[in-house]
Amino acid sequence: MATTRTAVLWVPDWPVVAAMAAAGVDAHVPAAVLGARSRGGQTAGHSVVAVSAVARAAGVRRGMRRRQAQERCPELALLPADDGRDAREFEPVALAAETVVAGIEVARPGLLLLPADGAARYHGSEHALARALVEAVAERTGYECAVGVADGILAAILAARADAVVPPGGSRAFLAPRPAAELVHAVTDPGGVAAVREAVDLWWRLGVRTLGDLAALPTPVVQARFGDLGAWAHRLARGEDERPPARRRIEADLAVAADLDPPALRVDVATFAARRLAEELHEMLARRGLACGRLRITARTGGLDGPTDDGATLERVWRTDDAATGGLSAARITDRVRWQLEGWLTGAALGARRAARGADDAAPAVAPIVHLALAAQEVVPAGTHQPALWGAGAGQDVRARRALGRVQGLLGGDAVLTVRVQGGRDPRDRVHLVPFGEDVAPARDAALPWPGALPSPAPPTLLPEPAPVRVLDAADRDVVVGARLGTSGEPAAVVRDGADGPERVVAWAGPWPVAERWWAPDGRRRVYLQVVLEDGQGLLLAAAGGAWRAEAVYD
Amino acid sequence: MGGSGADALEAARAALRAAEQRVGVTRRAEVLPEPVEPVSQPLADLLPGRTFPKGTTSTVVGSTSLLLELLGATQRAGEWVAFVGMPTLGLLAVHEAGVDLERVAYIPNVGPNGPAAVAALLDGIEHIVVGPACALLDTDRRRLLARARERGSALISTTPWSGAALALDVERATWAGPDGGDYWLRETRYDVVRHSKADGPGRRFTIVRTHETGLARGTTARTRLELYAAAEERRSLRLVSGAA
Repeated sequence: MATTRTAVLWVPDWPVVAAMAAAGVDAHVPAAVLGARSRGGQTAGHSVVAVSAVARAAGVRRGMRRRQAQERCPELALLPADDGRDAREFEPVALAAETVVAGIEVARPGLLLLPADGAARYHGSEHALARALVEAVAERTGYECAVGVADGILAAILAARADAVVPPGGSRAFLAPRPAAELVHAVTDPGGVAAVREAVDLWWRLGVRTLGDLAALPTPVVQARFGDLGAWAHRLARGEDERPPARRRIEADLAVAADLDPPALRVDVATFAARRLAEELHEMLARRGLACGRLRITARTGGLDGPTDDGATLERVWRTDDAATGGLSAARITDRVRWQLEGWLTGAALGARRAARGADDAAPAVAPIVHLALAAQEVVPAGTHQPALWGAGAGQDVRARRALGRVQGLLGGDAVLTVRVQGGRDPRDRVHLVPFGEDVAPARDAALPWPGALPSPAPPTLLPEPAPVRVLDAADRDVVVGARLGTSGEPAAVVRDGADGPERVVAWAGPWPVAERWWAPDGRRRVYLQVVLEDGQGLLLAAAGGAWRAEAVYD
Repeated sequence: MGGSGADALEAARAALRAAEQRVGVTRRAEVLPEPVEPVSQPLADLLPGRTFPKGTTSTVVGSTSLLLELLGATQRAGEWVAFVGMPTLGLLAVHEAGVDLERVAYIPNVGPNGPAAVAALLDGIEHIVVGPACALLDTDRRRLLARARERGSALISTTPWSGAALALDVERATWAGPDGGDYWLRETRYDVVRHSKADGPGRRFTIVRTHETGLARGTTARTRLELYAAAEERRSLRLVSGAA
């Protein structure tokens, strides 16, 4: 029987390596990646999910709390976790590996599976293949990696961790003495790790300690007692997980760029250049039969202080969700660029005018655009886009998106907004508005508790400019909120600008103090009060700095 | 086996035919029940077709929160909602009313291009809510109505619109619930007059909406709605059903 030899390319501590590369942290600086805040239990708070080799030497371990890690190693650089960044940064590594072996499978960022049979024959031996892979990756990307070759995926992964080549047929013997906990390395989705840990823990208590012990058990018994997870682990432990890696064709991102000479100060001049770039990009995509998932537009502005000033780089990413309808047309790409340039150039021009008027607003002065680049990202072969099987017909969404695209063309890119709910305490903060088609993540997590948030239902009408009001008590004195958050009297009437005389308050709720970000300069302290007026309308009032303002209307 | 099964079915059908002939009953085609829509019952009564009428204009004047409740209750999976010219809309309330934010487009300021923007939206969006900041002339309204009829979208206006097929005038929206400062605004009572062709001079409804929630903890509030036809209306309803 022909064996399926699998090679595994493993970059140790990938999340932290990628984060260090993205953040520009030097390799000698101890670094760690902090995970998302976990909830509840003893591990509440950020915990370390990946550690660089230098930090590990200083005693920092995975799973440590942030404070614990800093205690061991005070100069530790803490970097945020970002799955998207890990995957993005790994793409060059995958491309480098593909120069040696055709067709690879990215099991997870940091771990590549490659079919080794043919490639090993081509390079002479499996050792030569491993050397070629390591050299290609180091040369093209600068990352250090390890390569292992074996029958079966688990054996190959563990071989890569030891930088070894397991001879054909030797996988089972190679795996037998290893502890069962090493199964964790073969898990590709983060959710499965906990389940495997739990199972390994149970086996330990039952006396099944090594992969050899597990492999010695009869298959039906394992399946009956431990279910699918047990069967999967058993198959892996016996070295029987032989499947050829799912090969994929990797498409590099396509990019076009142009220098603008003379620099473009007006939108129409820059748009003219953008049109040429858009046509070029569209032509490249069409010629290769590709569609893209995201469009990145980058513009570099020239400096105002002569040639030594580098200017600024402005960048935005647009999602192009209608890949199913044949990708972007050149005209649509141009439109996107135009909207964006309009925003930048007019925004900058406004800032300049305001600065000229002597306002203390530190908006950037208008700077001409000297360089424009378009990049098609998440490139996939056109026509392989899979529309949703369940739910509403995809055609409906496409129609709506086209209509919104037309309105954007009419009113400008920033006029059509999409809405997401994000974390926050007042009804304005809890809404995240993004121009339609643009790809921006919400700033705050809505799933966090946000103590002190205003109670539901939210006000259906928000006043664009909070209107100053006076709140009076029964004796017509102004109601003030003291330092200890007591009110000086029960609110009995509200005087609004433009209303003829005070309006009687029939019911009220509050006051609720909210002190947000008091440690930061942008902190706000407000006291909220809800009142119901005689006509049944509710008002949301906020006191800040001793003055009441009407923020929202319940109608 | 198969033959005897078919024979048994045939025999059963013959017996049924004989019984029908004997008692004089004729069989009618089975009427499938209408697909159940997740429209809460009170709102279904407020909207005659259980949804905002398609291809024409409705108005909801006087209460933004009732408009949002109705939208949340009638938006079916996959349907889009666009809010045009409503710069004061509280979008969190849109979310809490149960509108799918994945399919909401918010166009707060349209400037002088209101008619063109609404016309473009009519091509692909099922519910278009037109607010006061979207300036429309009577000729624009007529043209948009014709376009909506052609495309089958529901135009919903928060300002009066002559020729609207359904007009919900909220005479009074009364918020309550603080109980002297112990709680917060959590109950609303709407007095609504509905005008449509079938309603003659207009029918009165009272809707009570209560929110049951702990202090906002990110959980979605459960909203309960109750609807009462006004007392005299109920009497007239009874009369109508007696005559029929």
